Amino acid sequence: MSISRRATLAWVAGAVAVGALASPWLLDHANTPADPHAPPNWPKLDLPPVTARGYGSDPNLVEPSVPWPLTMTPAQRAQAKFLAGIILPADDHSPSAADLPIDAFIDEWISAPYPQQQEDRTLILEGLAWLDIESKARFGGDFAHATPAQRAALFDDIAWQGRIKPGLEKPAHFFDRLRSLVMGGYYSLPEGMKDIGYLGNAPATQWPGPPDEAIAQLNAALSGLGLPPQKT
Amino acid sequence: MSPTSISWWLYKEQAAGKLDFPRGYHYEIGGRFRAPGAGSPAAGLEDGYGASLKEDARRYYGAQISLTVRGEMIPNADSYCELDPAVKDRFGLPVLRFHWKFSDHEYRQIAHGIKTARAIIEKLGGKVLTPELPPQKAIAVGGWIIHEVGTTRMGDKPDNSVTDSYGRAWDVDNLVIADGGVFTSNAHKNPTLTIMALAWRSADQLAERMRKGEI
Ligand SMILES: Cc1cc2nc3c(=O)[nH]c(=O)nc-3n(C[C@H](O)[C@H](O)[C@H](O)COP(=O)(O)OP(=O)(O)OC[C@H]3O[C@@H](n4cnc5c(N)ncnc54)[C@H](O)[C@@H]3O)c2cc1C
Repeated sequence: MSISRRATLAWVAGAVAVGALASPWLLDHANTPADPHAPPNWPKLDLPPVTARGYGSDPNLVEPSVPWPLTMTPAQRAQAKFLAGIILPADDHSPSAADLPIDAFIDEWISAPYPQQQEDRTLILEGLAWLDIESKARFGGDFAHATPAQRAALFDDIAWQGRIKPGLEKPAHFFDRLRSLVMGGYYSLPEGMKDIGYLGNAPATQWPGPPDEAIAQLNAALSGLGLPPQKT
Repeated sequence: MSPTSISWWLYKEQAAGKLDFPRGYHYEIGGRFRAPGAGSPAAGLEDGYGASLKEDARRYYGAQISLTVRGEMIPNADSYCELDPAVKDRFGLPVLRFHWKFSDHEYRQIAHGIKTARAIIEKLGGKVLTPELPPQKAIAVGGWIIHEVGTTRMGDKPDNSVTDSYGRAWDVDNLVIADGGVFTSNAHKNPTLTIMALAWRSADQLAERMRKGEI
């Protein structure tokens, strides 16, 4: 199976947006308040509003296309790519997120003209800027030029629930959202799907029935209730 | 989502007066694989970054279920509709104005349902992700489940109901109400089959009365 990146993206964005609308409880799992207190050095970016058209009410799902232009700068894209690689590095199962077009996914997401994506845009772009501001203050250089130990020290202040450094709740909220997007992009690509064992809809020409272990467990429960066993 | 549910099981306890709320509820069981990340309910489990995050994604992918409490709402005097004294529709007829309030019955029932659901998840060896909320906060707003019924309830006396048990209006002899309005309470089951069964029964009686020349 090889779906083009662009097609996957169009599909994912749609599915996630619909899911979020149809099941508001999904949003209950956000662990950080909507607008946590920002540290004094949190930048306020004056972003030109996105005015592009969205999918509309009847998009072509057979040959999906994305009608809005991308808005991230090359520097922001590079930064997103670099961070994606730290969030999901290569291991025995799958490649680094920096080696997949996750930066393109994030760009497409936050450039979309919908309210949730626009909120994400402000949070993500301000968060990217904050990382460099904070790195400079702590280590005298951009985040990308910090040593791995320095980067880890900074990430460890904002990346773990229950261990967020007081005062850094807003950067932690940014990190949480960035991580969600990196993962959302990564696990919707063939490489990520393979890692978690996603099979998709596979046609079944015959139904083999439940496995023997399941039947045995059911029959044990039935006999406990004094009921006759199920046949395999 | 799967079409499975856990039916109400505490009939004996209810009959013995051991519960602090009337009637019952059931659970709707939800669960699907859901890709990790963006919008995933596993968001609370996928923590940190790096190698362990990839492990989390593999570990928690497809490892979640949800239990939703669906309970019976008992009619109460604060929930009713009436003709709006001011607002009229385009034909100049007054529109309906609705009043709505949950009672302690629903809150106690929800509290019981939530406590039990949490215990089920924990007994299964799971970790409950939903934050613990008081029932007043946990309950969905009225109408959320889009199974509104009642307002022209059936009964055995004109002074506490709108129709008889065949949906025949007490006040207008040849008016039969054959929809969800005749329900006397909002049982926690999906209403459509019962609406249809009652409509069938009403139609049978209507046909019979017409045959006899009563109307
Ligand atoms: C999204 C959704 C999903 C649902 N899923 C389920 C489910 O899975 N299982 C289940 O059992 N129930 C389900 N329900 C509930 C179920 O559909 C309703 O309870 C049921 O259809 C109500 O039937 P009714 O005959 O009482 O009213 P309705 O079906 O609402 O009929 C009322 C009719 O009156 C007409 N009407 C209104 N005003 C006037 C007027 N002034 N003059 C003439 N006609 C008028 C309307 O056009 C409509 O046709 C669902 C409901 C919704 C909205």
